[in-house]
Amino acid sequence: MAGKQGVGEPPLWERLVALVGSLLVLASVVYLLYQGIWGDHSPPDIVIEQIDVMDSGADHLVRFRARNQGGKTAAEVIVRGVLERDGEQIETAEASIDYIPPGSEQQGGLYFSHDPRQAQLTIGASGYRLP
Amino acid sequence: MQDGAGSEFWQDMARAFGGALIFAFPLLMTMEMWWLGLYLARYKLALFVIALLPVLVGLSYYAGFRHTFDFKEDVIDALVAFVVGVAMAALFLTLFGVIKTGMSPDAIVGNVILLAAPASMGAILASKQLGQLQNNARALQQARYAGELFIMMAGALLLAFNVAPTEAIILIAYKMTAWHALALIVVTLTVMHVIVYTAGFRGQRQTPEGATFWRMFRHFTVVGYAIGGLVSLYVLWTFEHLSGCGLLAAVQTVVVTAFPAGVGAAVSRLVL
Repeated sequence: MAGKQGVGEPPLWERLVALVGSLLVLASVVYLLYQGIWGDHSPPDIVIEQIDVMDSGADHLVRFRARNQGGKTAAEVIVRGVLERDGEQIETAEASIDYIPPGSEQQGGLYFSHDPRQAQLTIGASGYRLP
Repeated sequence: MQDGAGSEFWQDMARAFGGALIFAFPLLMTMEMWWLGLYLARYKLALFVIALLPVLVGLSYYAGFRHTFDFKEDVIDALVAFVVGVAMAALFLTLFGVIKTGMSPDAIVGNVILLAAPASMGAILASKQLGQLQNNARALQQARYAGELFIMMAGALLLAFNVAPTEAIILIAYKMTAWHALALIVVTLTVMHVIVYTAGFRGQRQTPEGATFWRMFRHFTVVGYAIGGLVSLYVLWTFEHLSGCGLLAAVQTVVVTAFPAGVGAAVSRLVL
């Protein structure tokens, strides 16, 4: 290329930087286009998974993981744990999680005064709102 | 303080302090910053300070509060700016009752260090804006592409830092759909290009003669945007906004933060 000196052809590394920059931006655009057209647009689907139970002072802490398998972000997710013994509800506990975007997970914990290891524990999401 | 050198030093200090205050104001009064100072992983905080120092040295080179062109002086200026940032953060956090007796030293250090970052960048930057403007004309004239990239990165960091700690950023990202994010990318690039194009003609550095629209676009606008995106990614990761986050949510959060960061990258070429 017989460019003008100085402002003609930029050096190779300068063009490489421009190339890498363009690729990064292009990749984001393509990914968002893909998500816009073929992405999952279903409502939030919150799945709660118990991690463990540990003693916490006089109480018992049940740690859990909340994963959103739906296609939309859930806000103010209320996670509710119910303890039952012999078919009778003996205790409930609630925790709320600010946001769980699609494909993401957040952790939290529930405190019970009865030992959940000696009862039947069910944890589930009881509600959410869209942000 | 009878000699001129002494009073000049205090004048520089006053400027640095004023600069620190102006740039740190929004963050000083952002409650998320106080919480982040408490729970942020300490290695992330340490990494942040380590990454900040070279940025301060670079800023000192291009825009320092004294006209230095030697490396040692720039390092000293960077360290002084950091000390000014720490002092200012400690002073105002105490004044606001955020730091009080009974807090653990760890929490106090976390709070102060986090705010010292934007404050020290402000100490170096704004003092130059408040002081003489022509000091660094020479450094900027010599700022070739690598220098431009650095200046864009610093501008992006400052702006990204100002919005990234807030919950508003993630809330915006979660309210958006992929289409909103795509539109925001287009808008950001457009705004940036207008700024870059103006900057390209001002001061005759990186002379645009012979530089076509597309070359300006690829080499400054798109690269500036990519830098803004990478800086956003780093800052969001530091502030724990991406932990446990799915890819789409992460990309959208980066795109939201890259709006101010990208514009910051573009504007810094005008301002600096």
